[in-house]
Amino acid sequence: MCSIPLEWELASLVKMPGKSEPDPESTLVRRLKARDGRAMVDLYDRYGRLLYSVILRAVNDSATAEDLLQETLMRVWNRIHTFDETKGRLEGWLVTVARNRALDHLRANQTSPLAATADLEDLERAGMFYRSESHADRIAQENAVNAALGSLNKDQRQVIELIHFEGLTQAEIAAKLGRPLGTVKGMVRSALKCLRTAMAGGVS
Amino acid sequence: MSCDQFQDSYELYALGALESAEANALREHLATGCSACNAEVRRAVRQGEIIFRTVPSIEPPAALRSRVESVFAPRRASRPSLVPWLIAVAAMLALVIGLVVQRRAYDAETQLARADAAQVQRLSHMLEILQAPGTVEVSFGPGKTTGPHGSLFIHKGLGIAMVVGGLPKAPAGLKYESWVVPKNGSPQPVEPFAPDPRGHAVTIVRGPVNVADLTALAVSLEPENSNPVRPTTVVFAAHV
Repeated sequence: MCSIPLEWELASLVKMPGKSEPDPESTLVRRLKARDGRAMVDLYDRYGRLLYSVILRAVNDSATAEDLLQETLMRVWNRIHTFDETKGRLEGWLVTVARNRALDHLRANQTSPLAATADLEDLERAGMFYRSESHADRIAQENAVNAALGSLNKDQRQVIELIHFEGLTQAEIAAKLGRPLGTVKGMVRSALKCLRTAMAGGVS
Repeated sequence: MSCDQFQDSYELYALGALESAEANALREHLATGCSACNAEVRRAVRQGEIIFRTVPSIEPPAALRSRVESVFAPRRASRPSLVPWLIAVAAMLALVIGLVVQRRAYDAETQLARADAAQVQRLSHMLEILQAPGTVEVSFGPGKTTGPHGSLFIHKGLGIAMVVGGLPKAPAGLKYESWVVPKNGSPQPVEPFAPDPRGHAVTIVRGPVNVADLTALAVSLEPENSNPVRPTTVVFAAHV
């Protein structure tokens, strides 16, 4: 069971006023599509730290993370025309591209092959990326999910991290932790249910 | 197919952590246009985005920003003549190769010192392909850390740049030759080329490309002083 602290539930009910200024993500995407090289530097300034952190969390080696971040940036530059900013959030797409580079690297360097999973490239389709209605909704969701994460027990938190940052399947997690598959599935199911409930409650 | 069977799968699918069979089943279901399941997957993606932001934040090395800037937004006109431009071109080549083969970038000045006029022209053409709108990247040997791997950058009007890593030095008396392999007809030779000491190389197909009739770019080993009309020993083929 997970319980979300009351203050987060209350915070999620507070609506922030709508913003009228141009969406900086959309502006950045337009500049990238216009082949404005300076926009790549701005993208790096805005998201480089997050992308590097996500990659480093997966590969646990700073030199490799640096290489993979460079590869991520070149991939973004070459594929930005496939990204539709009206359908998805740039940040989500960037993180997915970065994470996929890290998982490709991990899979290529596994001594025992990982289980066959979905084609990672398929996950980079722009239609996969959620574009919520308002800034307030996004803040509410983030607050609610962060609160739910904080409420997970140690086992639940561990499996969620292994799925997100190392891209492991439930069977791979069971092997890694030396736990029965059924137990792992139970931990994953309960943790995801908690997060799902939080997401649903985070948007009014 | 009932949506209920997928209710525990949306997050795992969105993260690429679902076993293939289950992922394929859900993908097929999503392709039917099920609005509820498509919304659940988008919700799961968004949920993942939030969780990724909880990762401990670590600053990348400061030198990386300088490299990004030198590649994508090089400064101009601080020195007379072509020198700054040449440095930018050499730096671009260095980073492109470094990115594709997942290795460190070359030292730009070293590349500059080696560049002659013909080489600069080649690099310029390659940059034109890489930066042109509509250029498509096709990876080959993805994820490999040994053996030939890299990317094709294809632009219908400008040509193809093949950036390859993991290519050993050609045996004595032999050279590498690149080939365009059409769907119909014989392979056409492109140019001889040689990898650098780290196994990196670039070969360029100049001019318009009929992508619909293109199967692959191939690389072969040929006798050093030959003008081959057919590949002798194919080393690898990068399929389009």
